[in-house]
Amino acid sequence: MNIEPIQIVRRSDGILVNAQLLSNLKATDLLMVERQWESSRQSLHQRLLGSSIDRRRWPQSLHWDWKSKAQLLGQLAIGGYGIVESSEWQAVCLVDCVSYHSRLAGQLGKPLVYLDFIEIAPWNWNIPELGQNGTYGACGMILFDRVVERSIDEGFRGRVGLHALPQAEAFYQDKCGMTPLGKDASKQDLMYFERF
Amino acid sequence: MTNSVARTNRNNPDWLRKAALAEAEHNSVSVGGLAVRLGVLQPGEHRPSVFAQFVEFGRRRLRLNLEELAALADVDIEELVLIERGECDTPSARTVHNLAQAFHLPAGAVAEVAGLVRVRNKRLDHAAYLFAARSEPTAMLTEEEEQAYQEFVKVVVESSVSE
Repeated sequence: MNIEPIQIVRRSDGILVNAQLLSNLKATDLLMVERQWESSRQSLHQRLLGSSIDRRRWPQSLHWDWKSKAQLLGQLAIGGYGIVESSEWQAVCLVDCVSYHSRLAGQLGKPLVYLDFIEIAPWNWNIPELGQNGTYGACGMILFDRVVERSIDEGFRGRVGLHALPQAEAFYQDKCGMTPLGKDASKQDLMYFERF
Repeated sequence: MTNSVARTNRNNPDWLRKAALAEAEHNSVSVGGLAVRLGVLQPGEHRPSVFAQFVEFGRRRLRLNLEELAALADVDIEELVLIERGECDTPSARTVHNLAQAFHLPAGAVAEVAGLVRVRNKRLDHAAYLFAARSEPTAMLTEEEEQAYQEFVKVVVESSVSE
């Protein structure tokens, strides 16, 4: 496992804090990470239940449960990256460098790095209605940056694809400069994005 | 944020602070590829709870609180609370039938909205999505909400007649 020293932003005071960017995560590592995030997810869920926040504004990945998918995760030959600070996972992503190809005009059929999963720790979520601004920031962008770099390293010239959840569509279009290529019926009508 | 990526991006304090601000402006960075593939993302999960909204609107339109609607429709108050909060994945057929009667709407179409039967009417399905997208959780129906409810009810009734 490769470890790269990085810094992430502590939101309370804007100070840059030392962390590590780990490479070569396996799909099954997601189970380990989720074990660390589980109680925080449950706590957030309870707070949301007790609030008047419209359910449509709840984090859309709030109740994803990977435990029952352990065997399937073990069969997936995908790798990824994660950010650790003080022995706690702050963000994780999984990528597939083999199975997907570009749908962009001019890049059609060329291989790309597909972002299969990306998530930041529940305590880093920004939920202002609950008074939660998130502990650390920049974790998602750092992972995305690393994924683009992976695409370059693979010879894919920075081509990256993903299917965003509705709440994340604006993030990938406006902040990551990706191009929306339409809702994908094969992925439950999630919007498909690419960058090149 | 620039589209170009340099290997030194994440070593740049200015980039990191801008990245943190960029994330703060959005609720989520989540993607759904793996979730769909492994069946963790349920179909329709990312869509609003239409039936919850529909029942809430119907109740508010009648100027009833939850207890009063439960009494009028002769349904279990606890189930009704769960329905309106969008936490009841499979409301009972009796409850759905009784609510339809309380709202003076065709039971079959309301059962489709509740997800008890497979949606056969694409127009109803689309109308349901639009209806839920136009709602706001306030105490009294606004003029716009009333209009949205009436438009949706029109489709519910027409879809029942066309069956």
